[in-house]
Amino acid sequence: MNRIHKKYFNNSGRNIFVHLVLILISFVMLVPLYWLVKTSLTGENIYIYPPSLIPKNPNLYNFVDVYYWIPFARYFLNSTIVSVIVVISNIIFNSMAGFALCRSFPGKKAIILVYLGSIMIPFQTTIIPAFLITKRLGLLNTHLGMALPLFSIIICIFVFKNSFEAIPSSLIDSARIDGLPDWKMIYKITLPLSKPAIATNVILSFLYSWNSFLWPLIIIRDRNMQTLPLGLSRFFSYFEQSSGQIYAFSILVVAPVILVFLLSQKSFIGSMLSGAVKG
Amino acid sequence: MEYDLPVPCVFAVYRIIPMFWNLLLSFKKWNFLSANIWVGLKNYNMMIKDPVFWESFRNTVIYFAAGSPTAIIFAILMALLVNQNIRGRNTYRSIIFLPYPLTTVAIGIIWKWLYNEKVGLINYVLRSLGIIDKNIPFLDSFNWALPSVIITSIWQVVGFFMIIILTGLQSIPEQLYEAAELDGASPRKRFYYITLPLLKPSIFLCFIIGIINSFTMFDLVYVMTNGGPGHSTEILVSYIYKNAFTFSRIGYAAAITVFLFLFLLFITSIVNKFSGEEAGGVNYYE
Amino acid sequence: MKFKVNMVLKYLKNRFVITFLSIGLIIGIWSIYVQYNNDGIITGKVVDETGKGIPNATVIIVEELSGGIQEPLTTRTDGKGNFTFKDIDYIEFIISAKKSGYTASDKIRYHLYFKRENFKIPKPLVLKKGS
Repeated sequence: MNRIHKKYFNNSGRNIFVHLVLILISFVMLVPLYWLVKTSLTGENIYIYPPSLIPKNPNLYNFVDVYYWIPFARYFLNSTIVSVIVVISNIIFNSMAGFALCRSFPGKKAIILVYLGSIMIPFQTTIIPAFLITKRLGLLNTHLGMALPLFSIIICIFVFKNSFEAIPSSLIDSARIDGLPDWKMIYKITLPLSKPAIATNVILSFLYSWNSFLWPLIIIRDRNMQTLPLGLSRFFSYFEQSSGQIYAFSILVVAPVILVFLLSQKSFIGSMLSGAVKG
Repeated sequence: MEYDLPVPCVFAVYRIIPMFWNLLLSFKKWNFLSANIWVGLKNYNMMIKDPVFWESFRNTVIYFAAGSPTAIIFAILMALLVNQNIRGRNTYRSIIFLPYPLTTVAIGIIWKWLYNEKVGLINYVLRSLGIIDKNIPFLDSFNWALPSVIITSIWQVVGFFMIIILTGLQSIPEQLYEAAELDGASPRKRFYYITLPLLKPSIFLCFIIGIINSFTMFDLVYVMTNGGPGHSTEILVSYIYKNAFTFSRIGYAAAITVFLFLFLLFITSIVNKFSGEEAGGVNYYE
Repeated sequence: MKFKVNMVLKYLKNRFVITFLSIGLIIGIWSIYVQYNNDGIITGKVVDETGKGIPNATVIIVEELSGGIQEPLTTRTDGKGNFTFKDIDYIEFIISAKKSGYTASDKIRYHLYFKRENFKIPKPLVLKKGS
């Protein structure tokens, strides 16, 4: 006991050092974001040297311009629609698949093999045929086409499976005796008991669909169907770095992600960890 | 179980069929419009003779070989720091992690602005500190473009690696350290003989994520440099994209994709062998 | 009944609900504000160096857009030097004034927060004597 106390007292000097280093690191991590905010608020010409470290004549006009110069509302709507489709389909399909994997049935091993094999195939290596398939399905330039490849994040199936396995089997058995069909059982018993797994699903699928860029870039030609990252890169290629609006636009694109992160820090980080091996 | 059917269908349509179809396409010559001609190994032959392909392959390897180890070393240091029993460590963790989930397109735009030759913050700071006396056109110079993009991707990913390693650190039993301390092992020895070996699965998991990231990254390069200047930041995915959707050389792009896939499989299995097939051995699913 | 109130309170304490409700509230208040201030009326004053209003001066307003030349609109000041534009749907504009016998005023750029915002030019336009 004494030893531990002594250890902590001796550590106070060291702790200050640790704090200093961590503050420095945090500074490096945050400066680019600060610079983004600062540039978006700057009222004057942003091409002035030396750059001022705090915004001069700060105002929100850049954000107003984003609203009027580009179809921001349309982009936002497209991104939201795709994300909602992806999140809902992920919860439905992954919970179904996870539920099925908790039982034994013929061909289960083959299906698990398909899942694990799919993890090994990054989506980027299938873009050309995926594009051709989407074209055949007539889904180019549609929300569904953008959402389809993200319909199920493999790792989330296993998240659901692990969570369902932890539910006492007596509960499921008694429900089965009562004659509850399987889909009702998923909906009424197992899903309400796996809130962390649902959170992981929602967060991961939201993030992947919100940030997805390469796939929409390939299949979207119609300006009205562009999502936020696509609209951002398009705006950027027109105006380069000439205007402060591009930075206001960037803030609006990342703001929902930051919001979700701040609201659910712990489960957010946990979700990213379970998605570490991307599906 | 019929409940297991929809998901394999999605994967069949978007992963497995495409993989084989892609292999088939790589033996053909096609530009979306013309007839589909079987050309055998011609695309692969063309690939081997294409200097741009080799340059983008080299760049991809550099992304991985330079980026991942640097990010992992920083991540280990940060994880050790935020694992200390200090006040506000959760805040530090969140701040360091914050860049990882942000939209990569936006991150590319932010960093391109920081790297700006005339008014970029980085040039301004370096000049104010007297490190350089002429502004560097980071993203427009053949020497600096690749390192600049790599630094950006390290900045984005390091917080995530830190969290993975932190999870590994926290799974090391405290008694091991106490026992070692009683035996009089110095902190440095404790780090080398306890921490590092037990962190091995986490570190290898980071390595594998680093490999996959560097072989599949696209957004950052597309926004920051679009492969330029010349082809000095071109990577395989961006070269595939250009060939398929800009030059309409489908067969050729498919051939590079096959190469990318096989190489990725090869290098991940090597890393997996080295790790004793225990990468990510810590159970992260909880 | 009491059970339901408790349920609602419990949901209100959820930080997601609080955040999205407050975002909705801000958007709602902003829309209401816009509804009551979108007549597109821009008012201001033209004065001489002593601060006295100049009647019958010509005020010119031009929309500021990236690319393209915009048709300017003009109006004249009343007896006290005040002027009013109606139905202006510009988001950014340049305003200036002139009158024979005076040097033309500076061209001043203003930016609004929404189209058709009712706006009072904060600084009066100054005309100097002499041509």
